[in-house]
Amino acid sequence: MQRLFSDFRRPSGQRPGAIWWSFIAVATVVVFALPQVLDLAQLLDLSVVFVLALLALSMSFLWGYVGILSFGQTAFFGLGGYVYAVAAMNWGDTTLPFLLGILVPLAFAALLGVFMVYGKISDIYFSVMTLVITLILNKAMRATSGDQYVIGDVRLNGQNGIPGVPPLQVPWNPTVTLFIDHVYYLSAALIVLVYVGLRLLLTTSFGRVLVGIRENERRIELLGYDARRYKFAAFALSGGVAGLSGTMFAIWGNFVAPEMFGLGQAAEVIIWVIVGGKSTLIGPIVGTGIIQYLTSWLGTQGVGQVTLVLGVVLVVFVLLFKEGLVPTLGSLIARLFGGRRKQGEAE
Amino acid sequence: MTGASPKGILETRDLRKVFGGVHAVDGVDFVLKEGELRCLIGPNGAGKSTFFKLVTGQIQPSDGQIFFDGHEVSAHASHEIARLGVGIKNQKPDVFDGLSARENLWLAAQFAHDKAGARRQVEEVIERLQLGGFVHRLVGELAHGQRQWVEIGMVMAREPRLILLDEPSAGMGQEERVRTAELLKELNRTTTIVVVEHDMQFIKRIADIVTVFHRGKVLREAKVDVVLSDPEVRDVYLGRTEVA
Amino acid sequence: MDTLLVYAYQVAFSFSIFILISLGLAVIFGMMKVINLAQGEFIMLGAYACVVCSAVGLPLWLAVPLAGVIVGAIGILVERTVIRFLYGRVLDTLLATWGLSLFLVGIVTTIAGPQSQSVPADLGGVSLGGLQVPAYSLVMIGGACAMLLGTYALWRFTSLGLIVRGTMQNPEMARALGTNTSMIYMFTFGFGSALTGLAGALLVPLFGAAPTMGLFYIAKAFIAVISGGPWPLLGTLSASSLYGTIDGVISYAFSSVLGEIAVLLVAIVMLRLLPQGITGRLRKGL
Repeated sequence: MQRLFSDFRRPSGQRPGAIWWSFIAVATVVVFALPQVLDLAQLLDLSVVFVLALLALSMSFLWGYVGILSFGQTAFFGLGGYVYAVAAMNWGDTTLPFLLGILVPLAFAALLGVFMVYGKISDIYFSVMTLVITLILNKAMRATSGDQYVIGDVRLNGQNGIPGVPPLQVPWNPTVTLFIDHVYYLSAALIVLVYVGLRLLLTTSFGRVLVGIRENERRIELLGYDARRYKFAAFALSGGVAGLSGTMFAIWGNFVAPEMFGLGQAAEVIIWVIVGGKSTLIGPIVGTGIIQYLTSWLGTQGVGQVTLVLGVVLVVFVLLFKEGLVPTLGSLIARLFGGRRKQGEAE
Repeated sequence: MTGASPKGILETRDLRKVFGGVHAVDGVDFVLKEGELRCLIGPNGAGKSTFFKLVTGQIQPSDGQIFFDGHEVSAHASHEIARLGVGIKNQKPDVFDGLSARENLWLAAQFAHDKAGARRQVEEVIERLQLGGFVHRLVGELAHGQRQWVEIGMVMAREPRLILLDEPSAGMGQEERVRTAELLKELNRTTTIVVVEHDMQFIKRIADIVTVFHRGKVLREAKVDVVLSDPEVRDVYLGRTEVA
Repeated sequence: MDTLLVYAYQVAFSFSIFILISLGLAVIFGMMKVINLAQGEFIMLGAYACVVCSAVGLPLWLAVPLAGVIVGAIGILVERTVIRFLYGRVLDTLLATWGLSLFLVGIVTTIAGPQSQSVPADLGGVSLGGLQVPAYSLVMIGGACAMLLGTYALWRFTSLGLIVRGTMQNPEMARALGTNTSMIYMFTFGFGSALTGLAGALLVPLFGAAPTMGLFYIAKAFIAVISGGPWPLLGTLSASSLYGTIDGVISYAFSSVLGEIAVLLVAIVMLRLLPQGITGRLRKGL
């Protein structure tokens, strides 16, 4: 019984069981059936939760599994959005811009990885440096309001952002563009695919070494693995996922702005991941949903400063609920049903 | 400068490590022949663990050279030295606490083998070390002695040519110590081994030649009986530690 | 000659800003290993404290030190309620102080509104090599140097400074010797906060006070302290000199954005070359 919940606590490199697969199947069916009962406004809200959950996943993959806390995810997110926007507006076509929106952040993450992973920067400096890089990108982007800051035919517009980002076209038939409900299906499919993909990645040799690095990096080295290579690859991969999220965000809102790189955005990602629970992959998805809906609910309640509430939420979770919601619930349920037996009893 | 070609499977020449003014390892010349089972003894702070960390690349030497199997490895990263075939069990259990014992072994075995081979290797180690009772449990939840066994198993699963063991019998009961000694003798048929130990009974059971470290230097190196009856060794070592 | 003088002024100006915004962080992060992401908001609180003190009629030379005292008291409150539970959990200090930073921005915006406020220094201008600069900026440069020297003197030459350094290096030993380390931690955090508040107040006449102003300083502050390495004060001094020079020269010659980007790029390369920071090769100490 306790195996049922181990995936929602601290999964290691074990192969997910049948229960996990049925959970995925049910969740997929529900997500794809929702458009039958929801109106377009609700679909729009839910789409952005899925899109941002991709960003949360990219962070929790690195943090919960490899043990690296990177705030650079926001930089890759913003970069993905801008690359898509600028490329799509210049070229008219959207398929290549979509791919570039993933690949450019991935390459940027790889470049940073060369400096930071191979530079033997300690984990904590890694976190702070990625944050600093995000902030500087944000500042640089804000400073591009003048007429001289043009890429191709597109003005970067500084703090005002770039409006009118073109919707995604069907690759094989560019005259058809995706409408709100199509974007919903696409983001739903992406979140399921990325979640399942990252989860299965951990059952591979590569993934197990990543978990080993989180648990004990020195021992991994003493076994003969070059930990830096694995961290580098994981960092680049997470950059790609964050870029995908940014690209989808640009498609979803037809708009990109420097706030995508901002400290506020970075803080929100952290809060999603912490509230949901960083040691799982499902937690951050749940956390994203809860916080997004909490934020918009607070907005309608006339709470002027939503960040004030989010700040308190963050402090409280760090001080009192370190594990986050999903792992805490998972252990609770496992204890109720599983008696005194412990997790890790796969195979 | 390198002079003569390196001798034995492991050789260090004038190896030194300084920590902020403290000479933890202070000019150690050490030669180990292939197939040996050597014991290192010496009081706490004599430099044995630092010596192991230098040899495995966990810390970089301040000066001097290290040769493994004819290659100079003085400036190698620890994973490169591990790939050449050096395995180590550190003093404190150095394992993956959040993974099951089997996953720990698997991470060690997978490096040297394909998937099927790794699985076979893991089963073999489990059988040999009789880990079957707790192989599914998270290593972080195991008793100290069991975690030691998991770590020894990881080193074995990696199939190194040289194994360094830092106090393998620490925290073990008498029965487990006998078992460990037997295991080391058996492993020694195929693998060169260096053991840091304090337990004289244990040393007498396994060792032929013993090297005594004192204040970062090699004080004596001789047959076990000769060393144990050496008055100077008794002075620096036995005088301080109660020995059975 | 004139150009040289102008550049010297620009460099001194950038240097003093680096010192101001990072000195408190050098104490809190460099010495205490608390990653205080609310550093920028402590600057902001100092700025607002100064604005409020001026608004009730205090002269600027009184409002500035008072702002330091007020933010120091807030720092002690924060240390007692949040930080003291997190010593040794470096990453958690980062997350909790981030929450704190959001909270402070939110609450100040709610109370004071999002618009920028300022207190004029009324000292007029000075002509430096043909460049007209506010006289107050010279006061600010002097203030930064005085804070740096004062902190150094406090740590280096007083018995309290010795106790603090001992506690930060080995709390167990300090406890065994009879030091109330909890109080020392509280004092040190409060002192770092006070320095930061003082800095915020000193910045007001030139840069004003706004709820989100912390954002402009936080990255620079961390770059300076991280690049400085294990000797917080000496490291922050040398890093501020380096980055102040780069920022001053490039900002004046091109634009301030380019100056900041240049600082970041140099910081990344520095970390690659000297992962332990500028003072990383020296033995640990002040």
